[in-house]
Amino acid sequence: MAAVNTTTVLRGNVAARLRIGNPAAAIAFGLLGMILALGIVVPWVAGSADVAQQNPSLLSPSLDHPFGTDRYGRDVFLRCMAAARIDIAIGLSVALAVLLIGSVIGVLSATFGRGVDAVIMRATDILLAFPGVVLALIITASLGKNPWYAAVAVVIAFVPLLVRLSRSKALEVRAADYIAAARLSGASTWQVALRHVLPNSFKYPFVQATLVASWAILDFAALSFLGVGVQPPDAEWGAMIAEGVGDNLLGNWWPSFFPGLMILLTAGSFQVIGDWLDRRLR
Amino acid sequence: MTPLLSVRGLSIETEAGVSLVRDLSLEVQPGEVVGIVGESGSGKTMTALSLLGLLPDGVHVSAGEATLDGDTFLSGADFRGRPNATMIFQNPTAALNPTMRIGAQLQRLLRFLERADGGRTDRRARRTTAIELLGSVGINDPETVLGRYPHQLSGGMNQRVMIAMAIAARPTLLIADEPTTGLDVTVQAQILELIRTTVADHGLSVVFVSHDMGVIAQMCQRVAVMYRGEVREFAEVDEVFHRPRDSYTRELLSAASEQLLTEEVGHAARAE
Repeated sequence: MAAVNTTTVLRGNVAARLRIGNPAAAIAFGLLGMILALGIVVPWVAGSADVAQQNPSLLSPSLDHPFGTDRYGRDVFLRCMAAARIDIAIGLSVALAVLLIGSVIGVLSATFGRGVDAVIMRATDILLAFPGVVLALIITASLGKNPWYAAVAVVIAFVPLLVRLSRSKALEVRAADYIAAARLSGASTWQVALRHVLPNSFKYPFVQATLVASWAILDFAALSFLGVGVQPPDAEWGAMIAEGVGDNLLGNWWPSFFPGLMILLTAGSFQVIGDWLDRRLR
Repeated sequence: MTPLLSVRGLSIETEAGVSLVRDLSLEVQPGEVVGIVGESGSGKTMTALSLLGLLPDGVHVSAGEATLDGDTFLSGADFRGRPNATMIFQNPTAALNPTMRIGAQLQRLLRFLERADGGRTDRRARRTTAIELLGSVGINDPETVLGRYPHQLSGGMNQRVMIAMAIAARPTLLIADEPTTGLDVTVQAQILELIRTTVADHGLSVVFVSHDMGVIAQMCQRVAVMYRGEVREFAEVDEVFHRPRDSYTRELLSAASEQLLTEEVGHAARAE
């Protein structure tokens, strides 16, 4: 009979699942972990250097100031780390919000079908007609310059993507026998959607959400760069690049280069992790 | 005797107008097991699904009506609420939600049934009922099985769970859609025996869909032979097997006996 002792098997599986087993993914996890840890510890120990400092302005990178100082004499390293908190938090929370909202709407759309599906699909068509950043820019510009609005705008820009993805997966799940069996045993359409279709179609939106995290960081930084997200003097990578761009002309590359590097490393790490998760869960 | 289930002139079409089932009529007496046999694509599964309002997207009933216990629940495209009937599926592992434990699925069903009756809902009572149900379908350690996910159980065990869920609702009609096709031969025999005893104990009527003439012969009193969406012959099993009137039935029977012969030859060869 099938009542084999599965507890030992399960324990083995969990250990195997915790192993990363991919050098690129291991590096990505390490980098992201390091940036996050520094982002939490450094501002707490050394302050975020938002206001002008006693340091001379535009010092090139040295041991005292590993990323140099900007034109107001603020330490670029300290500011980069202070920004890491905001940017990673934004990336993760946007991804989480997009995942929850998008997958639930997608599953409801697929499960209810007909009119509900048609309305939701036309709405995503409209939203998807705009490139994500442009849509977010329009929303933020019309609401006002505020980092919260910018974050919400980025969420709205990415939700349709996840709605589409989770709907397509949910359509496949909806045809499964256990959905018919659930209907037969009296589950309402809401129950079928949230209890049976959602958990079984959650995998793909989940993987996609890690990629959304990286895109959200890019888009949020872009909005701040354009001046509608985080406002100076608060530190944010995109805003820092915008502040440092003018210095480039005189050869002072570091105030804009290092925030850019941070964006690249963080967004890149999320991409690699997403890729790894995709292969892992397939 | 008035039949428990009577289906008259049932036709099923796709949206594109392709006809899947044409003018099907069927009657099931109380306590009777009626088989529907036919090759793949003959419309037997569609017929079964239509009786429960579970037709897939883009397929609908275009004509006909069905009555269960004097209550007309299906009339043309109009499906008026699910009759007191349950179904067991071809692939039991696919018919259970892979992300829920057996216990959770069974207890959800019990809670729904209790609420439908307007009765009380007590978690511990439901668990006891669930254990009794699993025990009644021949599962030896019901308490362990309650904590398992479907993928941790064999197909035979999952089919037992499905049967337990099917009888939990105390239906008057059971629709079995190739319930043993995905199982290996020894388990098949056990499941068939279980269905037979369960049906006898509860006095259920059964519509038994299969492509296997041998299984039909064992299980059913009457059988409808389907070919390309039409019933070619509907008669007592003995009649159909010994004095088939329809040319297609004869072909089907000779194909089945050839298959049996090759299987036996295969066994003999392996035994040597």
